[in-house]
Amino acid sequence: MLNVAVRGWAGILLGLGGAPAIADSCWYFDLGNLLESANRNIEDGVIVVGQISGRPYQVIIPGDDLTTLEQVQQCIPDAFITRSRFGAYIQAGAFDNRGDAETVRAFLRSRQYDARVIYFP
Amino acid sequence: MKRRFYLLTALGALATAIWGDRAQAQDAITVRANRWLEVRQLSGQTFTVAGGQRQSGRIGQRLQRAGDGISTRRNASAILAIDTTVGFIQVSENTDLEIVRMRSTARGGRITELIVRRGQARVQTRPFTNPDTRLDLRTPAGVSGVRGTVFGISVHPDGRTGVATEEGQVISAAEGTAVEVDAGLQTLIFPGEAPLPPTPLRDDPQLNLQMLRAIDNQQVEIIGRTDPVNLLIFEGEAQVLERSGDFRLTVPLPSDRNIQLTVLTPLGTEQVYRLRVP
Repeated sequence: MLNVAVRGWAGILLGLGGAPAIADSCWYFDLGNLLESANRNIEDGVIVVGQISGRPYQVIIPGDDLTTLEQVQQCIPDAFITRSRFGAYIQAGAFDNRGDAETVRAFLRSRQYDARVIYFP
Repeated sequence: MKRRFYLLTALGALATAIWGDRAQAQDAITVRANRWLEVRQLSGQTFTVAGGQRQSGRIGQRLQRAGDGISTRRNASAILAIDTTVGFIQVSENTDLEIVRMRSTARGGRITELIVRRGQARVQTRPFTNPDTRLDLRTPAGVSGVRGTVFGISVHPDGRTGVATEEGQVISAAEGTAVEVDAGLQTLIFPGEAPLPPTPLRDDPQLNLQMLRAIDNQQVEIIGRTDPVNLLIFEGEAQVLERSGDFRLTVPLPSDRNIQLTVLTPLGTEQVYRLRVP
């Protein structure tokens, strides 16, 4: 319970600090910084978003529904809609290992999203 | 009471600046004095206009007359001193700043009127002790007047102006309406409209990306949002935002699939984003 409370305040403070705000309810899962950094990297002060090199394990939700995107962004502010030869999808996260990707996939599945892990080298 | 007096004084000065109904009388009590904007720092490609002569910017150059000004190009910047005691102006890239009027009053006040036609500028002045002293920054959307403060403005391609006050107080006026932008507040002025009611200062260069996708492997569609007071810069050019701060760009897809966007707040806080197109 304390862990939940601490994460809740941490989420609020992150929001005040100018970083992407993560909804308080998202911290009920022990995901560490996975959500905050799921889709971004900082390289020499530049925020890199999108297809981040060295992160081939991607968590996606098929489709390009903006309402779904806005809901996902409550927990993963940098999620975005993109498209590949497989069609349109929401990129919820990109990771350098399958374990982290599966953790986020499970989190999104628990929220009834059709999340999947794909390997996109 | 003092605050009310100050506000009324400031509003009066602004009303003069906006509607010019006292211009004749004011000219009678002001004198051309030895006043100037001095170029103190330069970076990148800059140009100045002084006495009708356009030239590359150089440190130490003084801009004194109406019409004198400075333009910065992509990745360029400048710092100007206002006389020796009034304050400083930090001019960001792709900004055009010009003198409208620089006068002194008979009572020693210093009246400085500048116009920023595009770009971003941050103003830092000492507290003004002379009640005649004022600094007005015009933009295509309105005018913002200060009496000793740290504040910044961003002028968008469509003329909208973001105003943010870090210290002191700014009075922003347009279309016959003036609003106080106290320390810790920001406002937005759309051309042809009164300033919006001030909201808490964010100084937040965050970019919320919603869509990033290649189209036919030749173009990229980018949809996102930022604070509507911010400038969104792509390849050195500020992009038009919707009123909400939403934007939609379609640009050529580079061979390395990297798109660089810069978000610049009215106070000059900058964040560079590199979007790697999947």
